[in-house]
Amino acid sequence: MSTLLPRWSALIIAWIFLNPLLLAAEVAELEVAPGIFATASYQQGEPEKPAIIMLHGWLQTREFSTIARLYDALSDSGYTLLAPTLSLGISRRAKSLPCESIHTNSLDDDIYELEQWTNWLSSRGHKQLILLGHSMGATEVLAFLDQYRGDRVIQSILISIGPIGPGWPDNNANFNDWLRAEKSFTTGDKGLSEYGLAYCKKYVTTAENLLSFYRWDYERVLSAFAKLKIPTQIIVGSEDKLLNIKLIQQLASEGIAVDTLEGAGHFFDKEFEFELSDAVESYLTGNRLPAN
Amino acid sequence: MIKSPSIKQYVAVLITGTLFLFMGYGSYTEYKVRQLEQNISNNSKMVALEELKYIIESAYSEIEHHTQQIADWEEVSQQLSNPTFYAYWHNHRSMSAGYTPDYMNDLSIYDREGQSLGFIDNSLLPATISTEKSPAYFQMQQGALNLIVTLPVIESNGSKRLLGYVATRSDFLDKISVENSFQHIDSISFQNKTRSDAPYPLGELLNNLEFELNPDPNMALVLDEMKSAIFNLGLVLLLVTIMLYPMVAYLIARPLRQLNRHIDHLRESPESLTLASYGSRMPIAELEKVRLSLNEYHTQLYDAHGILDEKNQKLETMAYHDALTGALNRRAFDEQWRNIASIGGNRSLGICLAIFDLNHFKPINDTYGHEVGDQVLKIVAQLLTGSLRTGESLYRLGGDEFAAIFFNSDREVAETIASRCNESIISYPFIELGVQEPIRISIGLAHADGDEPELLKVLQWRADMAMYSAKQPGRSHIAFFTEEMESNSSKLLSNWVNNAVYESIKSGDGLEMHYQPIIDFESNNVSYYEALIRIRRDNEMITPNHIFKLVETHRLEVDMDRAILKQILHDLNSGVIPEGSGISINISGPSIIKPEIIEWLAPFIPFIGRYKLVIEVTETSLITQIEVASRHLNKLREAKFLVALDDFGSGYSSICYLANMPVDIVKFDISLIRGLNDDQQSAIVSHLATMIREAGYSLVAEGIESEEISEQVMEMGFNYGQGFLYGKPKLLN
Repeated sequence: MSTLLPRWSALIIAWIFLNPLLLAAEVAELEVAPGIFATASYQQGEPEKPAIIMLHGWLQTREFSTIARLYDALSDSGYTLLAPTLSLGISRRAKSLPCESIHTNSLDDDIYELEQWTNWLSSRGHKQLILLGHSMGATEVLAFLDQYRGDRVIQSILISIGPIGPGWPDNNANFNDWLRAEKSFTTGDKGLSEYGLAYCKKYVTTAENLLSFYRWDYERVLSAFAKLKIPTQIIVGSEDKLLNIKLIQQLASEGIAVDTLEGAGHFFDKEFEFELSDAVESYLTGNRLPAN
Repeated sequence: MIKSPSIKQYVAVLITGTLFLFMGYGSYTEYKVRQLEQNISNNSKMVALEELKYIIESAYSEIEHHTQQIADWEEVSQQLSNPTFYAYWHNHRSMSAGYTPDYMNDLSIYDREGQSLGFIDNSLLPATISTEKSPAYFQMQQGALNLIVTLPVIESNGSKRLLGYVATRSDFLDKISVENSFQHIDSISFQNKTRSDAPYPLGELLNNLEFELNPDPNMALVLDEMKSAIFNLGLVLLLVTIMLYPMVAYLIARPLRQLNRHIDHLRESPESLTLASYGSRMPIAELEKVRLSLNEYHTQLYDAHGILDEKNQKLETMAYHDALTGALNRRAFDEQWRNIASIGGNRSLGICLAIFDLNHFKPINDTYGHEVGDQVLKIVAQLLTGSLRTGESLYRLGGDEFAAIFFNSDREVAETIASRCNESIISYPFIELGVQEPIRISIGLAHADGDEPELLKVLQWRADMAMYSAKQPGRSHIAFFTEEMESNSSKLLSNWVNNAVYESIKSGDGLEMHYQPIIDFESNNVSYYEALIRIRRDNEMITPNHIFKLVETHRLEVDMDRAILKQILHDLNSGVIPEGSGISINISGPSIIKPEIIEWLAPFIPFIGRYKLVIEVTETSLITQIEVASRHLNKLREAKFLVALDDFGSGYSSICYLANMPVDIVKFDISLIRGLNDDQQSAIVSHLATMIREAGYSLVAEGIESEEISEQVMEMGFNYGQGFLYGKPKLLN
C-alpha cells in the first residue's frame, strides 16, 4: 500500500496539471440582489456542446455530494458546467442553511437567480442550455421552465423531483401551516414564523415566502410537466423515502419519462452515484432511452 | 550517702526523655512540614498564577475564536445585509445555532458605524461600539464577570471589506471554572475583587481576580502522609513506651528487685540461705544467668560455709583440744582460767585446781618409743577424764602434764576425785602396751574458797608446787598445797624463770657456763671440766633442774644445746678455760641425732690437741635412735672428740647396749655412787666398773662428795672423779 501511494499521488498531480478542463474551472459570481452575490462553479466546455446548469437541492450548496459528484463525472465530458449555489439571501453563501435560520428568500427569488445564471451563460456565448436539478433544485428547475419563454434551454433532467406544498395524496403534514401562512399572508403579516417545509419542521420564513414554495404542490407540478416543451427526464431511486411514489407513478402515467434506478435512494449514494452519472450522461448524449 | 537511682527510675527517665525528645523532634518536624507547606503554597501560588494566566489566555483565545466563527457565520453576513429580522434572529437563532458555547450569553451585530442592527431590550451588550478600537474588556454585569469581545465582520470573498462588527458576551468565570480543570486553583473560588460595573481591560483581570488555591492533592497527600506518619510514629512510640515500661518493669526491674531483695535478705540474715525463695526462672537470659550464677554462688557459698564451719569446728577443736589425747589443751585451760578468775568470787564452795604429771614418763618414752609413749598419754587422759565428775574437763598442759578444775569443790571432794584418778591409773594394765615399769602419776591440788578470789591468781602455781611435792620420792602421789611448799619452792617454775630461760636461749642473755672439775685419779689433777648451764636473772640463779624441766617440757633441747655450744666456744676463745685441760659438753638426745651436730661442733675442732673435748650423752638419748646417734658420734670421734656416756645406771637400759654405743668414757650416775655405802650396791658397782673398764672404757664417778667415796671409787678402778669434793661448778675467770 505504502509503495502504491506515491504512484497514485504522482498520477493525481499529473492529471490535475495536465487536464485542460480543470485548468478552465472557476468560481463565478453574480450579484443577484443589491449586495447579495451568488457564486457558482463554472467549467468551460467544448463550444459546440450545450452548457449544463446543475442546481442543488433544498438549502444545500453546489458542494452537496449528489451535484458535486455529477459535476465531477461530467467535467471531462466536454460539456460546459455551471453549478450555482443559491444565495438564499446570503451573499456568497458557502454552507448549507439550517432550517432554523431565517429564510428571506422565496421560490421566485431562487428562480430569479437561476434565470440570472442562464443569462450569465448566454452572455458567455452558450446558446444551448440543459437544466439539471436535484430534489428541490429539480422542482425549482421545473418552476423556472414553467415560466421560461426562451429557447436556449433544450433539455432538462430532474432527479428525485417531488412536490413542495401540502395537498399531496397522503401528505397533509404541513396543511395547517399552509392555512396559517395563507391567513398571515392575507392579513399582511410580514413577520417570521416557523413552518414545515420539505424536510424542515421549523422553517423560519415569512408567510409570503413560504407560500411561494407551498404553491408548488402536487397539482402545480403535474400542471408544469404538462406544459413542458423540451425533453425532460426524471430519474428517481426505487428506495427514495422522501418522495411520494404515487407522484412518480402519476407522472409516468402522464407520459413523463421516469427512470427508476433500482436500489438507489434520494441522494444516490455509494455505488448509485455511478449509476446516476451513467444515466445522466446517457440522457445527455441521447443514448439512453427513457425507461417508460 | 547518696542513694543510686533504681532501674525503674532510670527506665522512667529514659522513657520520659524519649518522649520529650520525640515531642521536640515532632514539633521540629511539624515546623519543617509547615515551612514546607508554606513554600509549597507559595510555589503553588506562583504556579497557580501561571496556570490562571495560561487558562485566561486560552479561554480568551477560545472566546475570540468562537467570536471569530460567529463573525464568519454566514447568517451574520445575512443579518448585516438584511437586518429586517435581526431581532428575531438575535432572540431565536443567534444563541441556538451552535455557534455560541454555553458560557457565551449574548451576541450582538453592529454595522460598519458601530450601531447595533437592532435594539434588543434584554441584551447587556452595548447598542453602540467604537469602530476605531474594539478591544476585549471585562465588565461586571448582573453579578457575573463578563468578557465582551468585539470582532469585525469581513466580507468572505477576500476583499477584506468591512461589513460590520459582532460582539459576544461570555461569563468568563463560568467559562474558566466550568470548562477548565484547574490543578492549582479552586475553580469555584473565583471572585471579582471589585463590585463596580466599570469595564476594565483584559490585562487587569489577574489584579481584579480573587481565588483560592487548590490543595495540591499529591502534596496534600504527602503532607497528610507525613503528618499521619509523625502521628502514627508518636502513637507507636507512645504505645511502645507504654508497653516498654511494664515490659522493662517485668523483664528487668522486677527480677532485679527480686535479686536485690534476696541479696538484702542475705545481708540481713546471711545464715538463712534460702535459695528456693528466688528460684523462679528469670525472663531475660542474662538475668537468668545472673540468677543461676547467684544460685550457684550461694550454693558454693553455702557449701563453703559448711566447710568453713566444719573447719572452724576442727580448728576450734584443734585450737582447744590436744590432738593426741583429745583432752582440752593449754589454750583452753588458759581461757577457762581467765573466765574463772573473772567470776571466781561467786562460787560458794570455791574451786580446786588439780595438776597431774606422769612420773618418769620421759624415760618410758625414750625406752619404748614415742608410739608407746603416746599410747600411754592417751590412756592416761582417758582414765583421768573418766574419773572426773560430769561437766569437768581434763586439760593437757603439755608433755605429760594434765590439769582439771573442780568447781564447787572443797578440799575433801577434790581429794576424792584425785584419789579416783590415781586409782584408775594404778589399776590400768599398762603391761599390755609392753611397758614393764609401773605408770604412776603425781597429783598436785590447790584450793581456793569462794570468798578468796585473789587466790585464783596463784592457784596454778600452788597446784604446781603441790604436784612437785607429790613427785618427791617417798611422798604420797597426791599432795595438797601447803604454806610450807610455798616457802620451799617459791622459785620453782615461776613465770620469770620461764622468761629467763627463753631469753637466754634466744639471745644468750643471762646464760652462764659453770665448769665443774673432773679429776684424773692418776695425776690427781683436773683432767677437764664438765660444762654445766646456769641462768642468772636479776641476781637470781636458776638451777639446772628448773632449766631442764622447762627445756624438756617445751622441747627446747636443740636450741639450748646450741646456746650452750656458743657460750662454751666463746669461753674457749676468750681463754678462760686453762689450756691443757678440757671441756666436757652435754649434748641432748634430740641434738645428737641432728645431722647438723657435726657442723655445730666443727668450730671446736681447732681446739682439739690443746684441749680434751668430751661429748656427753645420756644412755636414753642414745637408745632412742642409736643408729643415727652412733653414726654422728663416730664422726665426732674420728675428729678426735671423746664421747662420754652420762648418767650410766640411772635408766632402764640393759648393759648390753653399752657394747653397741660409740663411747670412750662411761660416767656412773650419781645414784650409783651415792649408794656405795650399801655393800651390795658397792659390789655391783665395783664389778660393773671392773667389767666396763676391762672392756676398754674410761670410767668417771659422779657425785663424789667425800674422801671415803673418793678412795672407794679409785679402788674400784675408776679413772676420773667428779663431785663437790673436787669442786662445785663455777665460773672460770
